[in-house]
Amino acid sequence: MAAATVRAYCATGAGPTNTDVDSADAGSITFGRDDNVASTATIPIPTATGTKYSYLKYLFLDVTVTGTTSITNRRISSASALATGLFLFFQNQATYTQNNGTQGAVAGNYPADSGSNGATPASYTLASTTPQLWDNTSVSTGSTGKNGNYAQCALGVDNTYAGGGNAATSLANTTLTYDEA
Amino acid sequence: MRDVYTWHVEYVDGEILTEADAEALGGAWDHVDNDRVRAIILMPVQSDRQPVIARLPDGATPIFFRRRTRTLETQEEQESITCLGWKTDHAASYLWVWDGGKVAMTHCDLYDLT
Repeated sequence: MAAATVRAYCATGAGPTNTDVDSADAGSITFGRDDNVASTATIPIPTATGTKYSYLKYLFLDVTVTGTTSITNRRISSASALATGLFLFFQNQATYTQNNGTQGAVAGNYPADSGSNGATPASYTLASTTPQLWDNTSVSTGSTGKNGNYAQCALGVDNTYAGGGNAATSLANTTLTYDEA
Repeated sequence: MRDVYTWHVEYVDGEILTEADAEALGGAWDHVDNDRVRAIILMPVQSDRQPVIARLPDGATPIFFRRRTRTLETQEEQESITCLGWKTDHAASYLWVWDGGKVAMTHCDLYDLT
């Protein structure tokens, strides 16, 4: 089979700019409150019961070398459990809309603060160590570029997080899984 | 992506379709005639692996895919898991073959409990 070469990418900016963020070159993402791949604007830790969220990260699979196959069953998971009080949320997103720095549910918004700990924002799913589907569309690898939809992600931190203020808190690795045939 | 196994399909009339054949046709598994498949054979590219065969019951639909992962922020090699098997309206059986040679089988019988 002419298997494709597929990489994990993150879209940011107005273009968007697509950046490879997977193991091939140890690229990475950092969740925060700016529209960079590696954010530096931190997420406030709630001082009372509640959850605050990062800006959006648009992750996707990108075909860098074409194949004769198709990809389906795109799923996302964490390699291990996140620290207490940290949560990775995702949703299937067909369209890229740049982070606009506004909280809400409109495209490009990041989730509004919640008054509950560990709150899952509307239309999002809490990621776990078990891969969960974000896009099951079958898409040929015959073209380079984005394959399938985005996994629109946001990180949540609630009042139970005991890690303290840290601009570079490490998270469990995020894994994108897919089926190719 | 360099795979350590390649698939062959044996049709009910004895004809063999290989992955290379399908690739030469500009495709992959989508070139398989599902209704005629008698067996799926996973052939190792390396000599230190064993072939793995899934024989299909009559009327079953063949299943084949490679499950791959991309992990952010690591330097680890990404191991693929190849799945071959079959499903019917009442059962499904899959062989999961890791690149390292480990094999596991899952089987489920489906019951309508309504």
